[in-house]
Amino acid sequence: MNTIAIVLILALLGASSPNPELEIGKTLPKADTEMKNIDGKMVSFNSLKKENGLLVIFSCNTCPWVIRWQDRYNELNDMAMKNDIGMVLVNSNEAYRGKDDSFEAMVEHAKKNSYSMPYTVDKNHEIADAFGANRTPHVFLFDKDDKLVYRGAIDDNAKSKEDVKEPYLKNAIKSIGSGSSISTKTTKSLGCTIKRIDS
Amino acid sequence: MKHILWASFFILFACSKPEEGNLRAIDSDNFATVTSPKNEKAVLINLWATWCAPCIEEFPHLVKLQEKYKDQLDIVFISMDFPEEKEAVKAFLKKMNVDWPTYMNSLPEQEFIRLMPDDFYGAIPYTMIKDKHGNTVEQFMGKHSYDDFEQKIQAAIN
Repeated sequence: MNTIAIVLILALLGASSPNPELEIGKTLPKADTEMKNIDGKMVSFNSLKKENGLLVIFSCNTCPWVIRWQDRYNELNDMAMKNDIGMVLVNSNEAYRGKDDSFEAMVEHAKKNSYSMPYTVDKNHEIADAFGANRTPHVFLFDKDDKLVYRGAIDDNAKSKEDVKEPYLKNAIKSIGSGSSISTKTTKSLGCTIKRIDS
Repeated sequence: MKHILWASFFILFACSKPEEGNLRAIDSDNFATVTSPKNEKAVLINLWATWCAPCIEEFPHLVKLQEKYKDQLDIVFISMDFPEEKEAVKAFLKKMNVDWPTYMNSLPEQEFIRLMPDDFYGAIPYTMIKDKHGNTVEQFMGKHSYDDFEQKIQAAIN
């Protein structure tokens, strides 16, 4: 009987949706958790954040939405650096570690696309679970006090950066840098599910 | 002059063609109609794409369920592929023997999201099941099994 109950509970857990997204105003989770970066070194959010905060983007190697948006990653990193904000890409696709999202494939992908920011492995999708991250790309921006101030999309046009009308994330970064309030704090975006181990 | 007239007629005909076979564009004008129940049947809406592995894995379950419950349920597939992937979409639908009208998103991202329920957070696969009155019975985020779908379909049609 106990075995049946355990099987049922596990089945329910396996079918469950990711945790709710981290709410605006909440503190940066898992700040000391170490993740392997593509340069082979271990890093944490605390080691990557700068004076004015930290930008975390859940990303991956193959999602077509990431492929279309990633031509903005280096620009965002430049803008973040100018505003004294750290930036990191986190790959939580643990179910694809033996395939397209292996560490080696991440290194290759970052090299091919000239990523200028750290790109880390989220072991057991612990970070994604703590953030309630549910797709790639999925953006979380924290301020100097480690509080979440923006969550959601990079902008309103994955296909063409020239045709962006609402650069939500760039606006939020500028606001942090200038010490003003962020007008649009949450947005949604189309993307790929994060490939969790039980998904 | 005659040639110009014929050419103009041909261009007008080609440009005004509203659909190509059973694969149609979904936009803000037809979204509500396409995603609403019709003919006293429940409706299941599934967002998918040819490049989305979990979508492709669950897709055959839905095709089987459409056949099993064809008198009580309409399944509406909406492809989130990009326009340049249209041929791949058509080839996949043919392989799956989907011979009823299906749709491809033609809306800008944020416009499409605004038309979706609040609970939709943007990732695919995504499935919504409504009963014949239009009440939402279930929303599935991510890949699900044949049994998961069937259980909620039965709830929607009973």
